[in-house]
Amino acid sequence: MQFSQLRLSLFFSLALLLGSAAPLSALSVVVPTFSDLVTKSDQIVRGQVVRVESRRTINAAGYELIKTFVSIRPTEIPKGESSSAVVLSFLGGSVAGEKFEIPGMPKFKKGDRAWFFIKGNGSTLCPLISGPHGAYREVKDPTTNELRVVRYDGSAMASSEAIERPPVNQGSVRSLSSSPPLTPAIFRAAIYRELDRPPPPLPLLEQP
Amino acid sequence: MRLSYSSICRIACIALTACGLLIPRSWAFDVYSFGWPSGTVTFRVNLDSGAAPAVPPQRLMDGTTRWSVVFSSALAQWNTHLIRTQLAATPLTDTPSSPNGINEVFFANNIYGENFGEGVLAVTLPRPSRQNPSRFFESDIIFNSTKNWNSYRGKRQFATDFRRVAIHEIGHAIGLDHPDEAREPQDVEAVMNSSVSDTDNLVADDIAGATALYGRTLPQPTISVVSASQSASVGDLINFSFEIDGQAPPAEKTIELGYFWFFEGLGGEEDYLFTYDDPVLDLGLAQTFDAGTYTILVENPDGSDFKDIELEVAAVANTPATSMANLSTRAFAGSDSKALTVGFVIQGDSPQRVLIRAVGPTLGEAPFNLPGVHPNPKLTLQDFAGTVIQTNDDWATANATPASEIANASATAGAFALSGDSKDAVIIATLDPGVYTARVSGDNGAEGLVIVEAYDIDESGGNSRLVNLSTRGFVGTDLSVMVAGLVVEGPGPRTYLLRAVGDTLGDFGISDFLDDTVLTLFRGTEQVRFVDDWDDPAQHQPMLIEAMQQLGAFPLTDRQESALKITLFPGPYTIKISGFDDTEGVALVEAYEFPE
Repeated sequence: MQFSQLRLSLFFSLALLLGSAAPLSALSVVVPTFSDLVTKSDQIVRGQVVRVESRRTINAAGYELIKTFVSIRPTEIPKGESSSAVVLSFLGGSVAGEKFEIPGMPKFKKGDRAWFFIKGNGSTLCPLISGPHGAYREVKDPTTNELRVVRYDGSAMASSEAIERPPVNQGSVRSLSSSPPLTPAIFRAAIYRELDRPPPPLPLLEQP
Repeated sequence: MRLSYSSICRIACIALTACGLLIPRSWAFDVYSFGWPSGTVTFRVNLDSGAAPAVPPQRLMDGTTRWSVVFSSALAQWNTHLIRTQLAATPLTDTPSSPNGINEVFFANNIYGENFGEGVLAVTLPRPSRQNPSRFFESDIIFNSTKNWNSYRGKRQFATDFRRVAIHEIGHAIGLDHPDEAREPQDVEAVMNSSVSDTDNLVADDIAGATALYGRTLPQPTISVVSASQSASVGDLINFSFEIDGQAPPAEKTIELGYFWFFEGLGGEEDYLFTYDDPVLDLGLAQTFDAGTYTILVENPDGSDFKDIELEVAAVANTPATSMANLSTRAFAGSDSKALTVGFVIQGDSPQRVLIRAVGPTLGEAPFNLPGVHPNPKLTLQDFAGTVIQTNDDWATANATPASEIANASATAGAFALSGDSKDAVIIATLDPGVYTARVSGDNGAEGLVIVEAYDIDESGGNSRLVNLSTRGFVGTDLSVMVAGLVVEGPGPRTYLLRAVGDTLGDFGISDFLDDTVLTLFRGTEQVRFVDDWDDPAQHQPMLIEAMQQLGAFPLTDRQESALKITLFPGPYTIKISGFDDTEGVALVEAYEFPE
C-alpha cells in the first residue's frame, strides 16, 4: 500500500470514528469519548454539590452577566489540582426574577453526587467538557439500593465506553434497572486506567 | 355469516390499528414561558465576515457559498410553520452586544468575553423582558468560529452541519426547549432534542411545538375583576385576586396567558414579586411595610392588561407585657450534624424556672401516632459556655426532679401527658438570665422525629422571661420538615423577627446546610405568611437588615434564605421550615422578640 493510500485510509477511519460520535446541540456540543473526557480535562472531581448560587457578575470584557456557581465538596480528585473545595462557574441562571437560562446548560442541586470532568473553569461559559456530557451522576438503584453512575440526564450506561454513544431509546434507558450497572468502582477504575495509559504515538507524517 | 378465528383476529387487529390512528399524538415538545409578539422577528446576521470561517473554494457541500444563505434557509424552515410570526434576517453591521434588545447572529471564538469551552459548537442566549416577562427581549445566536463547519444533508459527517445546528438554535431563539430534557422527558424524534441525530430538518414534533407557540392569533387578555383597594390594620388577613374575562385565572401559566404580581412600597421602586407564582397573592397578616401599590399584570406576547390595588396598613402599638412562651420544635434528630439543638434566651433580672421536654416515643403512640419517631431521646442542657447543667435520658427515672413534680408542671403548663414508662426526656431547672441550649441525642446512633419544648413555669413573680428561640436541626421532606411552635402570650401584639437560615450556616463550618429555605407561618392550622427568599421584594431588605442589626442577629449571606419581621397578636403560632423544591439539609430557625 502506498503511503498516501495509508494516510487516506487512516483519515477515512478517523472520519468514520468521529462521524459516529453524534454532535449534540443545546448549547450545541460535540459528544466526547471517554478518552477525551479524561485526557482533555484540567481536573476530574468526584464529589457532592454543597451549594448552588446564581448572581450577577461583570466579566473581564465588561459585560454584566448572570452566572451560577456550583460549589462541590470533593471526595476524590483523580486528576488536577488537589483542593478541599471546587466552585464551578456556569453562564446563566436566575436572580431575583431575572431569567437568563441557557438551554442545555447543565444544572445541579445541592446534594447531587457526581463525577465532574472540568476544563477552563472560570473562563468558559460551561466548565464541563461538552456541557452535560462532562458530568456523570451517582444515584441509588431503586431496586438494589446500590450506587450507579449514570449520565447527567439520568439515563443508564453499561460502561464508560458508552459515553460516546448517545442514549438509545431514551424512554427506557432512564429505567436504571433495565441495563447492567456501571458502579462507581468500575467507573473509577476506568478513569485511572485511562490516566495511566501512555500517550498515543505521534501520527505518521508524509515525507516531503 | 360465520367468521373463522383468524378472520376475527384480523378484524380485531384492523380495528385496533384504526383506533390507534384516531388517538391524538402526545407531543413531546417543550417551550419556555415566554415568546415573540406577532409580526416579524428580525435577526441581525453577520456570518460571512469578521470571525466567520472561510467557505472552501469549491463551495459548501450543499452547494451554497455563504453561511448567511444557509442560516436564511434554516429560518425559512421555521417560517413554513409559523402563522402569527415570521422570522427575517438583515445584515448586522454593528459590533454585537448584550443585552441590547437586538437578535444578533454571528461567529465568534467567545461569547461576550466567555470562552466556548471544550466541545461547544454554538449557543443561544434567550432573554425575556423584565417589564413584560411573557415576551422575549432578545435572543442572540453565536456559533463557535473555531469549529470545522460545513453544510449538508443526511447522515452526520466529519464536519459539523451548520444548517441543522442553525435550525436547532433558531428553535431555541423562538422559545422551544429540548423535549428529551423536559420535566417529564419524552422519547421522540426531533431536531430540538438535546442530541442531534441524523435528522437534518424539522420533523413532526418540532412543527407541533412551533404551531403551539405561533400557530394562531393570541387573545387579548383583559382583567375583568380585581380586588378593591383597601385600608387595613396590622394583623388583618389580606389577599388579592383577579379574574380574566370573567374567569378565574388558570393555576398554571401558559404562553397564551401569564400573570405577574408587582409591588411598589411607599417611596420605593416597583419590584416583581418573583416568588409569588399563584393567581391569588396571599399576603397573610398585614404589616405596615406591606402598604403600597400592588399591580397585577396579565399578558401574552401580543397583549397585556394591568390593574393597581392600593393597600394602606394602620400600625398598632407594641405591647411590652406580651411575650413568647411555650417554645417548641418538631424536627428530625440524628447524630453528628443532624443532632437537634434548641437555643433559648432568658431575659430579666431574676432566675427563671423552665420545663424542657424532648418527646419522641410518646409521639408514636395514640393520639399522635406519628411514624419514624425517635425511640429514646436524651436531653442535655448547657449554658452559653458549654457547661452541662443537667442531663436526662428517661424522664421518670434517674431524674433530678421527681416524676410527680414533672407531671404536675406539665399539666400546669398545658403540655400533653407522658406515659410513666416512656423513654422521653425531661428537665426542670431554675436558670439565671442568659443563653442556653438543649441538645437532643440518642444512644447507638438512634434517630427520628422528636419534639423539643421549653415552657416558662415560673410562679415566683419575677420579671424574667423567654425571649428568643432558635433550633438547629436537619430539615427533610414531608413529616421531616422542621416545625417550630411558639405561643404569643399577653394583652396585645408584639413584633418578632423570624428567620430560616440555611446557606449562611456554611460560614460556620456546617457543610450540609439546607440550600434555599422556605419559611411558612401558621396561626393554628391557617397559613398566615409565607417567605421564600428574603430579597423578595428587594425594597424590604434594608428594613430586615436593620432589624437583624438591632437584635444582634448575624447577617444572612445568601439571598435565598428567609426572614420576616412580623407583629403578632396573642395566640399559638407554628413556623414550618422546608427546602425549596424539596431540598434537604441542616437549617436554623430563629424567633427573636423585639425589645420594648
